[in-house]
Amino acid sequence: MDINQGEFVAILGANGTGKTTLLKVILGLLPIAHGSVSTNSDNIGYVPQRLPIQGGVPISVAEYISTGLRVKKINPFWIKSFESKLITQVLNTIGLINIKNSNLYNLSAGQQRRVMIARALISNPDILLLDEPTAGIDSESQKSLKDILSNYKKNLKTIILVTHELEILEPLVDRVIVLGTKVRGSVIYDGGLPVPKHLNSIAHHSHEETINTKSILGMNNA
Amino acid sequence: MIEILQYDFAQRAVIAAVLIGLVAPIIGVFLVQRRLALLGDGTGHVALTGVGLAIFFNWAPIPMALLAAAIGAISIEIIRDKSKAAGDLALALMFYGGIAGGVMFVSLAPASSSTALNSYLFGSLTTASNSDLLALVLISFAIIVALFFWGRQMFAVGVDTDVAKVLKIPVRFNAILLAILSAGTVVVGMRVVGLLLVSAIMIVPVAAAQQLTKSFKSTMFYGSLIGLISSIVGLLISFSVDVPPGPTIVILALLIFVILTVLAAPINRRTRPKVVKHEHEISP
Repeated sequence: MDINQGEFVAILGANGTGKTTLLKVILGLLPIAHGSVSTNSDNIGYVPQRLPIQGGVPISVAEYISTGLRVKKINPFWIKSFESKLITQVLNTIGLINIKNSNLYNLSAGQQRRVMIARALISNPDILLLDEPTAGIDSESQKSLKDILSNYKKNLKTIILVTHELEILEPLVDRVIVLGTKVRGSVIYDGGLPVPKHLNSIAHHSHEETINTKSILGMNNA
Repeated sequence: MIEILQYDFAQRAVIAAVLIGLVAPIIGVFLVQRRLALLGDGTGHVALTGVGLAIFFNWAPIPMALLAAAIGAISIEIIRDKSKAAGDLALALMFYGGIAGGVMFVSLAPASSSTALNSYLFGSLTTASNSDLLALVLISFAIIVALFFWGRQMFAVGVDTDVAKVLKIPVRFNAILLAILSAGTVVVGMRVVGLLLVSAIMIVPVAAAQQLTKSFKSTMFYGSLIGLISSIVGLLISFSVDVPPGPTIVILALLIFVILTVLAAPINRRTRPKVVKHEHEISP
């Protein structure tokens, strides 16, 4: 499977088909038994499905976004002025500058998701991977998310998205990969929109072809 | 009360109390963030075995306590990294083994007494020597320096381990560094608060501060302030009343926690986030 630079790819599939696993393999967070993954850039942004469970210490939005910066080994805890400017800039991009000093855990799910995207975008990644970014958020946040990704795509950045809800981001998507249920990791559709009728409900009970494990994912320049 | 401060032992106790009050909550905020609030407790118990060995062999207790605590904390972190459940069990085993080993070695020591054991369990005002104090100052300084260099990385790892790995931050190194810093903090607090309660001065001020704060940095700052106030006031009370300093300091910190929790309840109710209902199950 090759994904080209500047492509917006949506990975679809029923629960348990390995969408998040595939994403984590690309990110190097999970080992792979066979094959290899190569990317044309190490500057990768990742937006997880949800915030990890924490012990309850408040974290401001600015502090959270600062963790997306590629910090040098030696770096004091506090945020420097040029970093603060970057944070302000990225918060302006997502339209949430007014919550810069708010506690992240007191925000709505939609605002949290947008802040998570801001954290991924602050280092201006060449490849952006998002896991279910539209799930469980309000329509205003969904629209905002669409605008953010639309602007990001204009910079010829690669976007890989795992989702259940293609409708919201459908206008931005160049290519759809549907994973099947019969064999975990199998691809039952790889192509443009619209997806074939029998896959409309993402009911994966049709002819499946096994993924070529020798080259699970290679990202080539267009 | 003021007269007692003219004595060397009292001055040493005050300096030790200031150090632990300031440093413990700074490390505690990282532990609470990672849901490792009990790590300090487990480490403190293991440090007791180090103290027991030092008393038994007539060595200096601080280096032995530091060594035992560091080995304990690193072991827990490594086991926890493999499996959360195994880490929980390892922590429990360290609790039991640490205290049993400590009590046994202290009891076997030729010049042992229950007073010596109690002074390490609950803190003591009279036992810290000048060389002990110097060791505590050096350990506290090392903790602050380590945070200056790796504070941001440790914070990033605590916020989201997966994203930290994607950003090529050495997650394992930072986890072990935090374990070593916790061990150092335990040893700094050993003389004043005692090994059984040293974890409380790491955690309770943080729990109190986070009732009113909105950021990690402010929680760290106010946690340190609450730790400092509890330590100094608790120590001064124990100078005048015949009680060990550890429990007095911890009860004061708990009192501040209760007061701030009550005061913050109406504010926290107002700022609670709206619950957005998920329309479908989210799964990998």
